[in-house]
Amino acid sequence: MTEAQEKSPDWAQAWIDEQRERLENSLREGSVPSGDRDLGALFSRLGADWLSSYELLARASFPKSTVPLGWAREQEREWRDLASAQAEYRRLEAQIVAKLLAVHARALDRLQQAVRERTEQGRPFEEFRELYDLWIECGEEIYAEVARSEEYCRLQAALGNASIELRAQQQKVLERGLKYFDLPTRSELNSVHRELRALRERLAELEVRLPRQAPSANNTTRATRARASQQASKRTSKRASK
Amino acid sequence: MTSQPFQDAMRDWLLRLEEGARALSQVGEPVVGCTSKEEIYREDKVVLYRYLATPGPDSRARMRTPLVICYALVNRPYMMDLQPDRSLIRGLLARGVDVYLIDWGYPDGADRYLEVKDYVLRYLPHCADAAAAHARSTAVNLLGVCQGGTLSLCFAAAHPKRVRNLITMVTPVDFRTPDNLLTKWSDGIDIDALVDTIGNVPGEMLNAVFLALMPYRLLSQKYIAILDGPRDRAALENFLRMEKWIFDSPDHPGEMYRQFMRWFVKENRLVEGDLEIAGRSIRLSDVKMPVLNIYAERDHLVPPAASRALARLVGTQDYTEYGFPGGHIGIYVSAAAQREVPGRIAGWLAAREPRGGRAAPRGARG
Repeated sequence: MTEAQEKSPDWAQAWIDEQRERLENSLREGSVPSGDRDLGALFSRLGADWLSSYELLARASFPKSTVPLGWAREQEREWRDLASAQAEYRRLEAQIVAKLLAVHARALDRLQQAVRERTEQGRPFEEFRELYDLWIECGEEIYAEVARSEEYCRLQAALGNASIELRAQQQKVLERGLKYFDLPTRSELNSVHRELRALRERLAELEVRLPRQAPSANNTTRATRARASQQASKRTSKRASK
Repeated sequence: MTSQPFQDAMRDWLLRLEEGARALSQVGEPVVGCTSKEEIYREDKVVLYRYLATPGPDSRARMRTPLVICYALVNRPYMMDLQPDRSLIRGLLARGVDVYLIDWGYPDGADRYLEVKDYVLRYLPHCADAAAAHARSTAVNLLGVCQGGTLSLCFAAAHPKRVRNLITMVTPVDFRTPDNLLTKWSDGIDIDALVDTIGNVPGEMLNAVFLALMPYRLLSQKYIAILDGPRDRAALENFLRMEKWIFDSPDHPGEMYRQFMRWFVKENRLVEGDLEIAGRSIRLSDVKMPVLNIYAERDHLVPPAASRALARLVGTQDYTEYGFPGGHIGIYVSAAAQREVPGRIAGWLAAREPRGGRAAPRGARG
């Protein structure tokens, strides 16, 4: 038996112990260590921190039962909606983080079992990478089980919808601020793009109708398009790919 | 508490990973796309390219019917021509196929109101016409890839005379198969609220969803494997090219996304037979030209059953199916794919090329 074989169960157990310790720390802190966060969660979290003060405000100062009153009531309502969207998002995020931590814990149990089986079969680990790959397998196995469950699908969708709602409320507040400074907003741009699209469609409809009234115009339109295509082709002929 | 042997093993491993990271950082920014091409047609942000053949053993005679590749909107189409030894396009050119490719570009805020009808009934027909005119052909062969395959099916059903042969590659048709996790996840999402709120759907958001399908493998193991793997430059370059392609994701036009998710994914209209685009009924039973349906047997994004549903829905009598033994990405870039896929496609097309359909070599026509 090589030296590596002799000590491999120690590696495995020590690594599993370390992972458990990290997991327990995470649970105590109520968050996932930054290195373990998935990108989706990070993406959703962007821009969320600066709102936390308003979340507190919503909980402490403005009970939901109080109707906003006075000349700034509309603004106040928007901020309240934003704070409540933030709170809902945070609530669901905590639930999904708990689910993912549970996946992590179950994967470690599965790994421990697999390590025990390998050791009993006389197939200890030769190097650390083998243990790591086995850990990934265990993680994916448990995650696949959970990710397909109705409960997880519902929770993930609820979190997705909550992040959409949060984003919508953020936009409302931002747009009001932009208008205050007479800066263009996304809504205004959308109006322009919508009108532009309607105009284009109208133009295309007219182009289709034109040939019936003046057949030569149809030919011109087609010929123009063909010529444009040929010119584009000449301009870029033999252009090498990037 | 950790034991000394554990610390030793861990330290050795971390040193190896560090060496790997150093080797990777010396490779530099990857270059993608390798075959010369010319621009044939442009409309809004959409560009149609024709690829220029380089002399090869089987490229002496060129197929007269041009092959137009319609890629998905989700990623960039240079995956079809990633590098010289991993290029479906190069493999097709070498076998005498005249290859054109539609590049949808990078949609921005001005494109958020583009709809399915813009892609199926405007851009696609215009590109097909431009390719046919350029190749002096009366129709095109169409190769639709992934979501591009779904759009190609709609176009072929709406304009059957303009498509001589249709090839679909890793194409979702039945979005409601039980093994489709992406569909399962999307069921509870309020797509209308999503599009109303964010407009175009960011590529990063879609990527986050794809990564979440196998988070341990895709967020961790993949990187450990490259850092702990062989140090040869070619392998590291290949890895970075793939990495670039995966995360070089255009945003998805908002309205297009809304309609695609509602009609194709949630309501499964292609299968139900009640798809209508701009008032025009789209039925797969109208797809009567020969069809070659290529799927990947280990596809985690488009399960084989989602693609193979096409067999019972198309109206053609000439339907061929080919299951590639690999995954959604491997079907373009693996060594096995280079050996198998271009030959399958070219052979299938050649057998269906009209009599006298092979033209003299044209090479790099200007």
